[in-house]
Amino acid sequence: MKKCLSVLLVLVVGASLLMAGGAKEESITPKKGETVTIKMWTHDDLYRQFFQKRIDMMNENNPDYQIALDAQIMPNTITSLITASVAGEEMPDLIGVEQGWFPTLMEDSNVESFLVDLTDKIGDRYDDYVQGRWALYTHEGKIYGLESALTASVYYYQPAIFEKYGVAIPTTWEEYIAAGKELAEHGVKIGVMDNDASGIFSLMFLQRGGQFFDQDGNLVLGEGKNREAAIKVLDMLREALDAKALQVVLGNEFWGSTIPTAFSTGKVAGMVAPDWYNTSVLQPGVESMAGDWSVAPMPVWEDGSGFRTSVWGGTGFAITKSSKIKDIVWDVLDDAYMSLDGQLDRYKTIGFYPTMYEALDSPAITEEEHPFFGGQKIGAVFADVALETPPLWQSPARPFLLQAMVDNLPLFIEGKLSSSELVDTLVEITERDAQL
Amino acid sequence: MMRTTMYKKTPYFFILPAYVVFLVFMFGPMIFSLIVSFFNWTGIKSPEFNGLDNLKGIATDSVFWLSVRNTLLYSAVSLFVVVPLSLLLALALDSPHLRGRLVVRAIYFAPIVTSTVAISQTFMMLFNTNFGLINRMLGVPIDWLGSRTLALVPVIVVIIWRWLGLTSIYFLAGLQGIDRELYDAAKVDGATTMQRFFSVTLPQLRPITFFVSMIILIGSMQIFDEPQILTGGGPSNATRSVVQYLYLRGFTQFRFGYASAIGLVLFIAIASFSAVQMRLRKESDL
Repeated sequence: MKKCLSVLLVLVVGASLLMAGGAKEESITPKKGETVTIKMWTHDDLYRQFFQKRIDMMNENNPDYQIALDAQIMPNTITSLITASVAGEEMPDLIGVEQGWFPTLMEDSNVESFLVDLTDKIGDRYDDYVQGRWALYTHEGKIYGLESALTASVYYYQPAIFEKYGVAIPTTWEEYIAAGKELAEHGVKIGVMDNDASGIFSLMFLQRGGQFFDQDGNLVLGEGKNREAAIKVLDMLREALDAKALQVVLGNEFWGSTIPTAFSTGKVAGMVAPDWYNTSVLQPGVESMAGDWSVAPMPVWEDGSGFRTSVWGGTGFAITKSSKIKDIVWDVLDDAYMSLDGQLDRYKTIGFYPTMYEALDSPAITEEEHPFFGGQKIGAVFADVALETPPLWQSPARPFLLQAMVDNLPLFIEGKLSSSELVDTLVEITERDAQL
Repeated sequence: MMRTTMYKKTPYFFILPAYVVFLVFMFGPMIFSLIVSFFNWTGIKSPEFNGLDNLKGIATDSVFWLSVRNTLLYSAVSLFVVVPLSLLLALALDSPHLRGRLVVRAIYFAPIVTSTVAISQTFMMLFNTNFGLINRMLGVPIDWLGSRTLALVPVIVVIIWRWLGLTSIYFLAGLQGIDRELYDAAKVDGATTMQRFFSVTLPQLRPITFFVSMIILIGSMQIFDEPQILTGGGPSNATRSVVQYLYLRGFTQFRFGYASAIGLVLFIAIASFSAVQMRLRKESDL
């Protein structure tokens, strides 16, 4: 019976995979005057806009052939990629991989079947980019994606609130808690914590030098300095929560109107968030508050532990193994993501800070005055901390850890779990569920 | 002779498309899912047979049992709140004294044709702790969606609000199908309004009541949209339904074997509940 079932299932799955175009290694060389179409999948139209712009520029300078972009916007590109593969449907040439989806491909080293190893193509240029950003798309020492944003985090705040209550802008987490307590006396929260995602906790944990997984993808949250860092961060969050210094919001309200409303009504003074938060959420959410905002570096730890900033999110772009125009797709990716001009243009077009050191030092970044921030040169703040952007090592077990956080962080916020109990619970659940 | 054979075969040709669709898109995947439930399969590499491990895992999975409890609660509310309320609503909508009946009926039916996303977003705003209309009216900042004990309330409110209109339309159709002469006869016999309701209306609505109970039970046991968009199943799984849990394991974590095993358990549960309902109906008809 067992054998029959196994044979039946393997036949069905095998047939599906055989039908899939994923394993074919074919290559097309375009003829003169021909138009080559790059099929791109992404979850965000911003990337389509940027790649379209770069392709248009490339076409202007290419007398041999033209490139057309056929972009599809979809909620989860990796689920679609796997589904397309199993169903034998056509796959894209270029794919946007939100960093949280990459672990799905790491399982059983599936990434090797789906995406092109870019390590050799990146070559010596590896050191020209913010080091921590490579880790998100690295599996067994090979890099499969190029990151779209620095995602370095800063403190976005409303200076008028701090001035009104005579509270100094915090530079350390200890000062942050103290300032939070002072503002709380006036009914104002110093920052935001979402109740079922890992936002602020992960930010502070990574900044303090903690890692959830090691470079080989093993869970290390419960070990040595990582466990200590997690407990230290959670204890500090506990203190802030007890002092009612943080506005707790629901995970699914994070992108909605709740936080902008809290900002515009003066109930929340600011928020520690990455670079993309500015263009994707903050400015669209509180457009009428242009000029009322400032940016300060993320508070650091008084004992000198860790980094000056942290990371949150990111999207890498990768080339699929099934693509028959890998070299052309690489040319586009190389131009858009690895050239100085491309990095600066990406910032100009979609507002994401560069990952290339040379681009970060460019006056186009550091000298630009931002009206929304009262003319402040916020690029200089990001460029200043970029060297200290921590890595975030990936693992096939990361989705299980994230779900464990979603399920258990509310218990911590409610006070049902202590800092150490939460860490132990996260480790236990992740280890158990990853074995399913 | 040939013509007779053709006449006999013709009905099968008419029903064939429906059966082909059922076999390809329902029965086939069901069998596939049944087989997968005995395997460890992430969807890409070859599956590994693990016998009853998935079912054993489910038996000791506290989140699964929490989702079962939540689903049973949703089903109970649907059966014991939505069904009686929709009957009362149908009676009101059927009243000849109600002005603008068509408009009122359309209003009650509107939630079922409104996007679940729009409904959930609206209710999220209504139940928002700091800026929600409900807390404004109550004058207390109740954490409706963030509290593990209270988060079920908004989900249940949405379920009631959303399904009331549809089920009342079924009852309305049933009410309009009742022979008016039965009411006239009851009146002649001196029956009061309440007596006419219990002796004529309810017995005549029995087939519709059974039908409504059946579809609402099956639908509520597969509930997904409302808790998914309103709370995402949180906080701490307090509102997660079985289908949400299946989705999480299958399509977020790519544990198709485990998710299929959950699907198998759900299928058995729905089939059992439906069988009990049909048995009860048969007994009451005797």
